[in-house]
Amino acid sequence: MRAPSAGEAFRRVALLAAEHHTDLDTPTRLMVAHAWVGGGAPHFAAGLATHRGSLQSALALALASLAQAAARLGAPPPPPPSTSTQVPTAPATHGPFRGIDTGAMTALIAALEAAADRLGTAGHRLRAELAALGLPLSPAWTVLRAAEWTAAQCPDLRRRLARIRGSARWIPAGVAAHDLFGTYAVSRDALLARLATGDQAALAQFLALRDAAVPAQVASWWRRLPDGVRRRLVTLPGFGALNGLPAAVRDQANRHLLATEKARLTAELSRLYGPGALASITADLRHLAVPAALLAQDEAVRLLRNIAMIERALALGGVSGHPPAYLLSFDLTGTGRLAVSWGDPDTAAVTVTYVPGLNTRLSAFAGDIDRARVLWQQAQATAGSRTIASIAWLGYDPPQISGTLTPGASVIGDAPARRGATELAAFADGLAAARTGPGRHVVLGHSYGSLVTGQAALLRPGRLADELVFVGSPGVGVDHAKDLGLPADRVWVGEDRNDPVAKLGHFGRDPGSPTFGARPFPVGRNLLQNAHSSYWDVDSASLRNLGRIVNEQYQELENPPALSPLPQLLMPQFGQNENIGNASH
Amino acid sequence: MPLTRFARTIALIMTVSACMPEQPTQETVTHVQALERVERLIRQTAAALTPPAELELIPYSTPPNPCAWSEDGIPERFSINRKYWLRGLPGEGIVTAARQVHDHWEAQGHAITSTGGFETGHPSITGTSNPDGFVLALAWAEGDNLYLAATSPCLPPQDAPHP
Repeated sequence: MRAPSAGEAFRRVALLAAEHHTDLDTPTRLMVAHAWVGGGAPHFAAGLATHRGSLQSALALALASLAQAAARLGAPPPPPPSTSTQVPTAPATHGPFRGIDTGAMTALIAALEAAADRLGTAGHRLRAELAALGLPLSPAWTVLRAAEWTAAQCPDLRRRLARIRGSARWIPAGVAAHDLFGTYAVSRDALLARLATGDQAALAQFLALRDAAVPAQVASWWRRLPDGVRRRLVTLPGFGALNGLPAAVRDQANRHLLATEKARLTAELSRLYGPGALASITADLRHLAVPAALLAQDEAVRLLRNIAMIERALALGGVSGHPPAYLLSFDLTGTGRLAVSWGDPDTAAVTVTYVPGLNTRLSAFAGDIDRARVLWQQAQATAGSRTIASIAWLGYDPPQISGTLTPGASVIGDAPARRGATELAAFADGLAAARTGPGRHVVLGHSYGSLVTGQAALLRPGRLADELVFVGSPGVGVDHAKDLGLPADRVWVGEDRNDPVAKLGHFGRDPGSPTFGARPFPVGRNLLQNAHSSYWDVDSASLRNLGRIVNEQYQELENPPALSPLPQLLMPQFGQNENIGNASH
Repeated sequence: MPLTRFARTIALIMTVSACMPEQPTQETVTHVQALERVERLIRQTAAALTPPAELELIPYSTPPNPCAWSEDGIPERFSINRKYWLRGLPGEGIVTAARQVHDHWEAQGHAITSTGGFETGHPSITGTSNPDGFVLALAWAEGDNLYLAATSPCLPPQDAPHP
C-alpha cells in the first residue's frame, strides 16, 4: 500500500531534516563570531550563507512534497517540523589589533569537513526517499550540491592554514584572514605585481583604494617581496602613504621623499634667485624665520618652511629618552598630509591616534605633533614596562576658518568629517595590518576631529579602536555612545567647563551630556581662551587622565575639584600655566 | 547647512585670545631660574619623606616643552618640566609617601588641585605652587612606582640652549 509508505517516508525525512538542517550552522557561527574580513572572507561567507539557506529550504520543500503525497493518499501526517534556524548576524565586539585564532580556523575547517560528510549522506538518503515515491528530486540535488561545495572548500583552506601555522611570526587577524581566504579575493594581484615593478600609476591606483581589506593585502604582499624589490620600492615617490606597510618602511620611504623634495625645492630656489640668496634663505629657515619679504610668497619657500617645521618637530625622535619618531605619512600638496608616531605602532602594547580639529594644516601641525609627544611621555611614564606609540594624524582636510570671521558667512558642515572618516578608517586598517603582535588601539578626537573619529567608528563597527576619547567635542555625529560600535564604557568624554566648543553639540547630541552615555573624565577648568586647547598641558590632571585611559588605569583617574564660580573670563587664575596661542582648535 | 553658532564660537575664542593682556603679575623668569625652581621643588619634597627618597631622572622630561605657537607652527613659549622616579620607598609605603607629599605641599603653602587613586593604593596628586604657579605632580605608575614632577609656567624663549 502506498499511503503508509508516504506517511512513513515523511516521518523518516522529518527525522533526517531534524538531524541535518543545522549542518552548516556551526561553520556559519564561526565565520560570524570571528568576523574575518580579510581577503575573500566575505565571498566565502556569502557562499556559505547561500548553501546553508538553500539546504534548509530544500529540506522544507522535501517535507512539504512528502506531506502532500501522504495527504493525497488519505493519511495526513503531522505538520512538518521547522527546518530553519537563525544565526547571529552581528560579530562579537572585538578590537582591531588581534591576532589570528588558528584554533577557530581549524574548527571551521573541521566543521566544514564534517558537514560535507553528513550532507552527502543526507542527500543520498533524501534522493532515495523521493525517488521511491516518484516525487521531484530537486531538493536532494540541492542538498548534494551543498555537500559538494562544502567538501570542495576544504583542501585549499587546509593547505593555507598549514602555511599560516607554519609561519613563526605573529600575524594580525585581518592579514591571516587574507591568507586563509585568498582564493576568494577580488583580485588586485595584477595591480600589486605592477606596483612591485615600480609602476607609479599602479601606486596611484592602489593609494586611491579605501576597502577595509586592502591594507591587509598590502601587508601580506610586502612580506613576500624580495629584498631587492623592497629597496627599490621605498624610493618610489608616495610609497610611504600605503596603509598596511610596516611603520619602519613607511618612515624610510617618507623620509626619502622629504629629502628628495627638499633637494628639488632648494635647487629650484638656487636657480631662480642664485646661490647667495639661497644661503640667506637657508639660514632663515634654520631658525624657522620667514625669509626676506620679496620671497615670502614663493611657493618653494613656503614648502621648504613646511619641511623645516617637520624636521624640527621630528628632531626629538630618539633623543633624550624619546622613542624614534616614525613618519607614517607625508604629502606637501594641498593642505598637506602628515602622520607622525612617537614609538613604533607595529609593536607597541598600546597605540593612541590623535585626530586634530579645525584650522589644522600642515604649516601649523608642529603643535599637534608635540601634543602627541607629550601624550606619549605621560602615557609611557605610567605604563610600566609596556610600550606606547602615540600618533598625531593629519590625514584629512579640516575646515579652515580665517581669523576675521563674519558671523553668518562661514559654513562648517560635516562633509569634511565624512571624507576624513574614510581616511582615518583606512589608516586604522593599515595600523592593524602592520602589527607584529597583539595590542590596543585608542583614538583621541579633539574638536572637529572628534566628529571625524565618530564617523570613522561607524565605518568600522568595533574595528576602529578598542577605546574612543573625545575632548572639546562639538558632537560626534551620533546621539548615543553605543551607536559607535563599542561598549559605552569604552567611550570617554573630557570637557573643560570653559570650553565653548564642547558645549555646541551641533553634530548630534553633545557627547558630554549624560544622555549620550559616554564616560566623563575630569579635565579641570581653564581660562576661556585656553580651555579648548589645554587638555595637553604638561603634568596637568587632564593630560594625566588621558594617560590613565590609554593605560586602562580607570581607577586612578584624578578628579580636579570644582573651582570658584566667579567669572573667569577676565580674571587670570592665579598660578595657572599660561597657554596662550593655539596650534589648532 | 550653515553652522554659524559654531563658527561664531571659534571667532569668539580667537578674538578673546587676541585681546587678553599679558600676564601682569609675575616677572618673567629665565629658563635657568625656572629649572632651579623645578629642581628645588622636587628635591625639597623628596627630602621631606620619611625616610627621604632618592631621585632618578626620567630623561624625556628634560627638553623644554613648547606651550605657545605662532600661526605657522613656530614654538614661541616653553615650559620647563622635570619628572623623577622616587626610589628607596619602603615596601608597602606608596600611599604613605603620597600622603607625606600631600602634607608637605600643603605645609609649604601650595595648593592641592586634584587627587586620585588613593582608594586603590595607586595615588596621584596635582598641585600648584605658591606664589609662582608651578604645576606640581605626584603620580603612580604600573609596577608600583611613583614619580614626582614640577612644571614651570609658560615662559618666553631663551637664547641659550636648553638647560
